[in-house]
Amino acid sequence: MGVFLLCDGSASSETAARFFLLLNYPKSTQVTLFGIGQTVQNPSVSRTHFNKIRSILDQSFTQIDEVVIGGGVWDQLHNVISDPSIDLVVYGERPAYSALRHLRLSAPLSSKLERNLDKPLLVVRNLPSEALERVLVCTSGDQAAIPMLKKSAQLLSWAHPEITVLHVMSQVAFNITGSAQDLLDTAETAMQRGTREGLHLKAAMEILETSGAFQKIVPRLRHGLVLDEVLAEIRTQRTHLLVIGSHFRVQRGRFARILTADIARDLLGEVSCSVLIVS
Amino acid sequence: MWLRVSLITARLLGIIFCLTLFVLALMMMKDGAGPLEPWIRGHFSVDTPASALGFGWLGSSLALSGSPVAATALSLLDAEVLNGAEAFAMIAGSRLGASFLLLIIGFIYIIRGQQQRLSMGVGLISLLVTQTIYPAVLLVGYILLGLSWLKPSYVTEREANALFDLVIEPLLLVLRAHIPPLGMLIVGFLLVLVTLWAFDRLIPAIRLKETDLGLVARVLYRPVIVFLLGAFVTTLTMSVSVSLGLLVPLSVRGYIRQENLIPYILGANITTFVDTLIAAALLNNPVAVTIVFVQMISVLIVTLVILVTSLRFYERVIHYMANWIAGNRLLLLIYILLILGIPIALLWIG
Repeated sequence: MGVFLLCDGSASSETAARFFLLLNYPKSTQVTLFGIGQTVQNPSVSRTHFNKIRSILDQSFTQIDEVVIGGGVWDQLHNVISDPSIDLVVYGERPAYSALRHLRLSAPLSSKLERNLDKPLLVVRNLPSEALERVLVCTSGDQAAIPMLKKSAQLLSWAHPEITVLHVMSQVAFNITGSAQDLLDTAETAMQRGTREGLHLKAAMEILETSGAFQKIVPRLRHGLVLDEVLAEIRTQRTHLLVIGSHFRVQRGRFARILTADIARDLLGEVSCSVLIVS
Repeated sequence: MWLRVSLITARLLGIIFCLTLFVLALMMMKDGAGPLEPWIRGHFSVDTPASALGFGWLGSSLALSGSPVAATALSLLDAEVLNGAEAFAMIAGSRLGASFLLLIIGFIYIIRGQQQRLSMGVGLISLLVTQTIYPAVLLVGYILLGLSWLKPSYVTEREANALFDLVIEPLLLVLRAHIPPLGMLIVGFLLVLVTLWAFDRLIPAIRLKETDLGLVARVLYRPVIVFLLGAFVTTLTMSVSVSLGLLVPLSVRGYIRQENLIPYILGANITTFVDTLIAAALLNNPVAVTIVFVQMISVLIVTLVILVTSLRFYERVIHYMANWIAGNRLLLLIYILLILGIPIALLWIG
């Protein structure tokens, strides 16, 4: 496994390092500390910061490297992170306060990373007081979500959390004379009746159960507006980590990116918990 | 190939025939409305913008469609039964009651025991979207109508209507001789209903399934994309309900995501006036054209403000209102009574 930890000199990077420890990756994992926002001419800030991050990770990993490249953050990141040996990028970010985030003049780095990276991205916002216990995996309910679920299972398998697999139906019925029973289903009844969503939730649970790594896997089917229902589920479950797929990746067609909504970005801007974005 | 050419030619001839009948219907209503002005103003109390709003609203609720009522408003304007502000209000009213039929049918299914929340769906959301934006539309519209630089300067080309005049004037002469004014008004209105129905059938079907927008029932699209789709499709169908109906084949199970539906309806509410704009142009009345144009611009302004500043909040409001109304039989009954009661009250008080 290869993991890139983005270090910007702030306390958020230290939080990200501590959160990463909660994933319990094997000792042989190759960890690279990537200094962002640093200049080659002024390495002293990065040295202190790197030492701090190292001290957090030293006990758990044997291979910790450092990379500092001056210049534009995004260009350098892009060149380095396209390395196929990298399995996960970790970035610490302060939670976006609802009232202020709309005042931002430019998109935060996490949003740019979400859009342009083709690697799984872990955006760390805060640290659970206990272990990483409650993870919410949101699935879009179609075939495109299956690779995301498999990847998520692989990335989280060492942490052994409880997983809730959530799909949100925001549909309403056109035909007032139809039965539309699907719109009243719970996860259990949907799986029992073999509806499209039920079959998908079953498949999702099988994928996660196959990894054998999770304490408990609970399917959930909610009805309402997608963003609102995901936020409500996070509040109800006191979720530590939200896992979502992203349609917006560089290899996806330009036309498709113009047409489709970026739910991953919307959720990234709304939730206060940490987010793992898996393409 | 010849078959295809023949079908296209037949369709075009059908559209021209329908247009001619449509103009005839408008002229008949104008002819009938003129002498009936004191009766319309007195008997129906249509003598203020508020009462005209109620008249249009009630009319479209009972006619089960907004377009014929909007066309009627233009004929009444042309006959100088209504002034500009009253015609604007009546056209706005025609939008408020346009989806009433869906509500009634849904309510009937609830009485018959069908699951309440499921029976409302798209129809209720369509009504709520229209009803929530129209107070702002009326305000913006009246401000725009009051602007002196918006005085109608558009003049239709006389030549464009010469062909219609050649055909329609003789017909009108014959009809005037045999049908009283009230009959002209009623027959004209019914003819508008028939021609609009015929237009719906003659306009070629749009196949969205073969496009990248074919997943609108499942995938969440950008709101601006769905908004533009709703505006474009409704430009061709000229009816919000027909436009929504085109989305049905895209969904195997007959569903659509609310996040796609609401921007779609917002777009559809703008270009649903295309047939009314055509009617205004055919009447050769620049005031009528200006009024319909202002109506469209007002809806566009209000819609853009929502799209740009507060779409998520607006979607949440509509979602919770729809759930709240559909989830309680008493509330639903009160809502239906309000839809009928408010226009009646406007007619009485206005």
